[in-house]
Amino acid sequence: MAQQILIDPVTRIEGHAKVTVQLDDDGKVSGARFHVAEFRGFEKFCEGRPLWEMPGITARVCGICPVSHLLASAKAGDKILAVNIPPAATKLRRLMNLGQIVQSHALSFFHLSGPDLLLGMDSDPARRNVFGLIAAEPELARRGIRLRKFGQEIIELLGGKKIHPAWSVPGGVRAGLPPGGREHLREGLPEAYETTRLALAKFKEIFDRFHEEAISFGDFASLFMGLVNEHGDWEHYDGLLRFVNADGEIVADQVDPSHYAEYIGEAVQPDSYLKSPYYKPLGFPEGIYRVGPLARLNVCTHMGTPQADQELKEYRYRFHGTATSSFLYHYARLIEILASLEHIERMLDDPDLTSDHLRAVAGINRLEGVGVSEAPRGTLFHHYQVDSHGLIRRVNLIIATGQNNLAMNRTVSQIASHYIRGREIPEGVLNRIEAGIRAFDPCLSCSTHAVGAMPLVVRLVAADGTVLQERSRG
Amino acid sequence: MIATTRPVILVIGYGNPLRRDDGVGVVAAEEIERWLDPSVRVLARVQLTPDLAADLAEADSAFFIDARSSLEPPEVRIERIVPQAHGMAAMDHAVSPETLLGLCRALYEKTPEAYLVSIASEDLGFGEGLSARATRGLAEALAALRDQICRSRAGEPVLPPPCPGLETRPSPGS
Repeated sequence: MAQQILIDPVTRIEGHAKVTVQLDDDGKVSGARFHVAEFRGFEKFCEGRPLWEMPGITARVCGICPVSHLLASAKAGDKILAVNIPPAATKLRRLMNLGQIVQSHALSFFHLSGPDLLLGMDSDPARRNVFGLIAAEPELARRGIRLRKFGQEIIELLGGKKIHPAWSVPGGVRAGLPPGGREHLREGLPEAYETTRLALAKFKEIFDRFHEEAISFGDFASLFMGLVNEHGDWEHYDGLLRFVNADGEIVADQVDPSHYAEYIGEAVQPDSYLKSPYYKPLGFPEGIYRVGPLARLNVCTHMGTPQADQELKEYRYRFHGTATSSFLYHYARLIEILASLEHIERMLDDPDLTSDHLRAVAGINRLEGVGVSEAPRGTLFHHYQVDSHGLIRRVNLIIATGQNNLAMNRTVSQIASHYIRGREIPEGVLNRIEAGIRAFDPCLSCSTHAVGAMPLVVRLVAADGTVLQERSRG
Repeated sequence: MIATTRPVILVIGYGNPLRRDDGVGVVAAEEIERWLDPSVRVLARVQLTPDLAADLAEADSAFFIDARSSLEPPEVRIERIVPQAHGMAAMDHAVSPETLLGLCRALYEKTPEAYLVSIASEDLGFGEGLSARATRGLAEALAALRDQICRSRAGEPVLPPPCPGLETRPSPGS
């Protein structure tokens, strides 16, 4: 019988993200850490549940990226059933993932980071928000909303309007594209393309104003990891893992994601519920790596579509090959939107999108399975162990944001060292710490499997442990 | 002037159904969808996100349904809410209903008449299903909403303040 837990005092605010900046005896920044004080419960909660429920359960880890969990979970289920799903089902899952990438990246660029980028990091905090953005660039703001809706519409066309589409399941998917869906998406593509090109042009225009941010927002050498296809090109749903270093050299390639545990270790930090994955061959913490748009553009040989490849060429020219500054996540996100739109356009003529052959039916044929896909924020792993009845015995979720934990820490430390002088945190520095974390587009609810608001607290601590200042946001 | 078109009513229920009472808004939305009322557009979400501003712009009235963490009565509170121009939280993708209305006004220069229906909750732990208290609150909220929606559809004002159980919610942060 399920046990009910009464939370007393009852609160919807379950925790916060905290940054602690440590000063040394000379008052200089000696380090900074990013902690997430949230309770993780979903992995435990899933134990004993039937495999078939897992996509629907894990999709509810987060309200922003349910699709990513839905797909990775279904893929883990495919492995446990030991099936090759029908080609039509693969294509439809890909289409949904592309929609997810478009809507998530649009939200990140236009609403979360847009105010920083388009209004400036030192602009009036009262205006440096989405409302200030709307006042300054109303048409761009409206276009951003419509671009996100375009991505959302793909998800709704496929999964229905239910809160958590139980559409992708072990063995395939439940339905194809409905009548009229193809035409509806084709109608939306021209504006989606135009908005993305406008955003790219805008970013390139303003980038030179952010030289200092580009060198201080997490610009350091690290590994990068992402999925690539058989040609080494940008991949978002299937493929094999590739790790490259800051010089663009491949350090591990064609890695079967099922063997992730040979390459990825997970360190537990005492002051955060966020695990810290690292590249095992280099140990912790030297094996720091990044995932997500910046990483995917660094690991791939090509994007695989003409417009995005043209942009990638320019991007690599500007940043001398491998981009190491986390500030460039913003730029990479826009190129990924463009690639996603091109892939969507290519797919729309495929008759398989309306096929009836969508599921492979099987029983439990393996007791373990790993499902991997590229969520907008980075590579997502769902690893399940089941009993012979298909009941979950163990779950391990490696979330994109968690994999960027070490990098977010390094970024915060770099920003603090670069900008904090003395024993106070100026407003502009608080903005930049926030903006530095936001470059990663973290989903902290997701990475700690929690819900609720997530205010940010920044604390400045003297060498003797005295809290000199604490500021909070949100 | 006599209205010739039926008012569009938007209902948005939100919360996480895997956090027990937190999902009461979603349960309410799914129930309202079963009423099959063509004048009511129902959305169920885990969080409120900025793109919902476009949906609000198409509505004449809107009802947000959410859980309210409270051990105190009343079980159901219905409050008129007004647009506000506060930004989104630092690390959060979600917006409040008031901020969403503010986004709608800023983007489209109009907003629907909007209400927050909050249902008292006592259990936000991991799990499915509502507590007895949230279940009672849900029934009460659905009855009240059926009445409110009828009024909105008839072009009648939703019960104007002051009215028992109907208040205007102060802006968060004020």
